[in-house]
Amino acid sequence: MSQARGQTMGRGTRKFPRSMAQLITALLSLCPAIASADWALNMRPGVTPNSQGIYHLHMIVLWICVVIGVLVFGVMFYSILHFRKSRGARAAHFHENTTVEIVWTLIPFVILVCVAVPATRTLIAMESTGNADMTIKATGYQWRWHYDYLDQGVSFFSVLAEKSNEARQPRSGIDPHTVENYLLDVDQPLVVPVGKKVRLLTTANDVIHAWWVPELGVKRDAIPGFINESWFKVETPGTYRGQCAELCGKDHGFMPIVVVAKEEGEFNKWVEDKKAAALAEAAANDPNREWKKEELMAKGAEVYTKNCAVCHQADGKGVPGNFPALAGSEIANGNVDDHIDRVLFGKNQMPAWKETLSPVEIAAVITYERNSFGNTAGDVVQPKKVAEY
Amino acid sequence: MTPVIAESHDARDGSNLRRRNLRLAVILGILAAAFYGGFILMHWK
Amino acid sequence: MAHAAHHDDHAHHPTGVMRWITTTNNKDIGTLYLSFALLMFFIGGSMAMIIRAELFKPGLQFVDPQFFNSMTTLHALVMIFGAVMPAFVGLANWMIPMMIGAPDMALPRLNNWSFWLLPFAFTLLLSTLFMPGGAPAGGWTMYAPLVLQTGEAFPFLIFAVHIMGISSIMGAINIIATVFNMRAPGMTFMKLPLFVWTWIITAFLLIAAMPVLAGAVTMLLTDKFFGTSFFSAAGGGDPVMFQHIFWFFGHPEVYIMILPAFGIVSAIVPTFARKPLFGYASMVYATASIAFLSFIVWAHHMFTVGMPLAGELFFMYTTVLIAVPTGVKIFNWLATMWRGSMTFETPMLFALGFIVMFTIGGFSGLMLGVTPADFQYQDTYFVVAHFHYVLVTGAVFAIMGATYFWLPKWTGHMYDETLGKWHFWLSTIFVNVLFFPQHFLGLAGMPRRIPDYAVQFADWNMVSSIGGFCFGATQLLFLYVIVKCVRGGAKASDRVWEGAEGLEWILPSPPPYHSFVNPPLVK
Ligand SMILES: [Cu+2]
Repeated sequence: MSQARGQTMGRGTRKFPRSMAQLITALLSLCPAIASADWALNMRPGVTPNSQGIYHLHMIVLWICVVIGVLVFGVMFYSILHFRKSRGARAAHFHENTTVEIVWTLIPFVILVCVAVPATRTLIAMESTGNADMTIKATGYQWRWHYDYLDQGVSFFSVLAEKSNEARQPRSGIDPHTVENYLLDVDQPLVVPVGKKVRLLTTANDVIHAWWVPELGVKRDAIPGFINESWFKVETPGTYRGQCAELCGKDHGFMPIVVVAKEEGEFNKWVEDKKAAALAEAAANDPNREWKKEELMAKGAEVYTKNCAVCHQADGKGVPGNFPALAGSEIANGNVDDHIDRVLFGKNQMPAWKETLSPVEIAAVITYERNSFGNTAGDVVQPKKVAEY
Repeated sequence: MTPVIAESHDARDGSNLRRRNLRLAVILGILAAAFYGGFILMHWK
Repeated sequence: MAHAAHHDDHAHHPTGVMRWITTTNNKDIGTLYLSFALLMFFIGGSMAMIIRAELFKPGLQFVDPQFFNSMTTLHALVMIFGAVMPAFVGLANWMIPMMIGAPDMALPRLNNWSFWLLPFAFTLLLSTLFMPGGAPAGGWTMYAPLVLQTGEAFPFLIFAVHIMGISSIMGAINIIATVFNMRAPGMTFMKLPLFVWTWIITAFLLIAAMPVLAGAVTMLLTDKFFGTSFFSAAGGGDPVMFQHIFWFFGHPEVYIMILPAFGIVSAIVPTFARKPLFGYASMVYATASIAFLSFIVWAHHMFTVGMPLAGELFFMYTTVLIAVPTGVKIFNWLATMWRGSMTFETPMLFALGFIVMFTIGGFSGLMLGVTPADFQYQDTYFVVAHFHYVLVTGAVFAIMGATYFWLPKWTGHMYDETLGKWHFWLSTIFVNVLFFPQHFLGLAGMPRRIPDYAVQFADWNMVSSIGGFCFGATQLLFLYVIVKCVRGGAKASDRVWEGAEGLEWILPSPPPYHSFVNPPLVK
């Protein structure tokens, strides 16, 4: 019985907010500036069954609040207008009434039960992660995401796109409006097939992050040492953008998430391409061969710009008080083992790079740091040494 | 400086207020300390 | 005889700065607390101005991201532990003894210490701004493992929190002892003004909640320096456990900051409606129910951490249930105004502003309590808008209303009513320009605690920042009105307000240094 009641209630209230929302949209469109997407007022319904369920629930509760608000503030402003001393109002002396108290305890309670029924239903649907078609593991790092397609054997890091990264540097002088999808773009997006139930596992390597794409209706914390489960099924092909939603340190605002939903055929082709590229990459970056200094310096410069310059700065001078300088530093000019140790395992705000960068990249960046910014250690660190460290 | 109520007596029954205040403060203080210690011990591994 | 001797002691108390350092007088200590809170309100406010300046446009113009995070972290800690809580303790010090007909607080020396710990705590906390590695930047929630990455500031943060906690617990003990032992003959519990009632309940919340926070930060300290692993998965601990413990403190803390505000509004509304408070008993029961519920809703701050379904349902039901007693309070205030004879002096304006805007914060709170929807709202600007409606237009507006309400009693002078009204109207307009658009930003998908944002969020952020700067500037007017009133003004009568009821209004304005040395007889 409660089920039937819940359904009627869901259906009845769903129509009401929709038509009201259309009315408001129509009114707003009279004023072009406000109607443009930038002045967005409300949540978007999104493209998965869960995000749409959430949207409807949001609208139900919102309209309940609006109606109660109109009644409560109506009574209040009526009193303010009518029972003012300046209009000659004389104060009555009543000060309690048990019946009234019971009534205004019970009515809100009943309204809450009406909200709780559809909310419970939506929540149960959101937590049903069984019978998935495929599983992807997302691992949060400071400050990038790593994706692992457990069924396809594809994995890669996804970091903030280069253009956004340049523009977001303090006082970069680049106008963010000129950058497409500023801060919401990555180098390699997460690609998923449409119409498939994707089970998403989230975890983290260092601190807590949260994987959030509003239009998929998924927000789940990524916690080091634990694995969380959630799911989504994208119904329309397209690109959906989100961000890390749990404060995770300095660059918390700069680890976006981009999901591209493709038809199954295109998805399968993407998987094959990804696999081929990974093989080629591995062949080119063999940590066991002897690397030349110039090779390491060139690669190291690249790695440095991408990963290290945010804190230690492009000129290696750091930010006094916050991020130590590498130019002339004890670590970069001293014992090479200390240098490797610091890069691999981090210290305080300095992240541990062991998991994030390959031995080749670490060897390259250390070689680069020891022979740039006026540092003259002069030595070359071979990837093999890092791999065996 | 001696506080004004340091040795006053309860206006209601003439009992020693200072002692009663201190007793209550000590009980509440122990309660707070117990919560503090209890919460840490509860999570001790 | 004993009384006479004491009067002599007190005729010559120290003067100058020593008077304030050694004072055991509740009114002096109340003044110290309130002045400290005002100072912190401006320090925390300046940090908010830095935040809003950086968010005025997309791109990083003024600060680097690490410093931005320090600003959000310190802004919260300073406003919560430095401004709102001390302001309420200051009001309690001034008003509770007068309201219950007591000569002073029960434990005057403890009272002196609970105040003087605060400047030490905040010196420790704010000194971290000048340390290598910068001030704490892991958020006021201090979630492990992020907070463990804090540099040299870390132990300073932990000890500052410990000292603030000790100060609050001592203040709470004092208030309980005062109300339990020092009431005038005839002042039964069910005759206590609601401000006193809400404060006793708050004091019990403090005694139960602050030790839990202290425990949590102690565990952080030992995890960082003594090799324990309470919150580190690698050592068999659990980072989510920190959040459970933190919010087991944190949710009662929310009510610690709002219950005394309920008490203030329950004092102001009947005064200016010239009609007794409607439903006194139900107000007391509602306050107690809210306090009880506050201990079983904590995990609604953590719906996205991955709890079992049963847990999510339980915390959703208990959370939305809080709307019931909160609604009762609002309905009682409306019934108090109904058929009253209202005038609208500044304290009443702030109380009415409180009722409207706190209700808006309550609505967004209800929305946040609905678990599936919370998955979209969690950690966005929608949450930021929600808790600023509850804390700024809620707690802070109540504190400002209380200041205007009792300032004539404290100083013996009337404040400048015209400027007071200007202060109210400017604050109300700008605070809504500041926080209302943040609802839209959150719903559109802007996460909180980010120093820079995608360009589609630019318009509302600019509006919000303009509101922020104007709201901040308006508070200088508040400071001016207070200073002007302390220094002089029209003589205030004993009753001050035509409709004022209660023991504090039978005392002269300003009240004698020691009031009710001989207790009054209540009815
Ligand atoms: Cu993150």
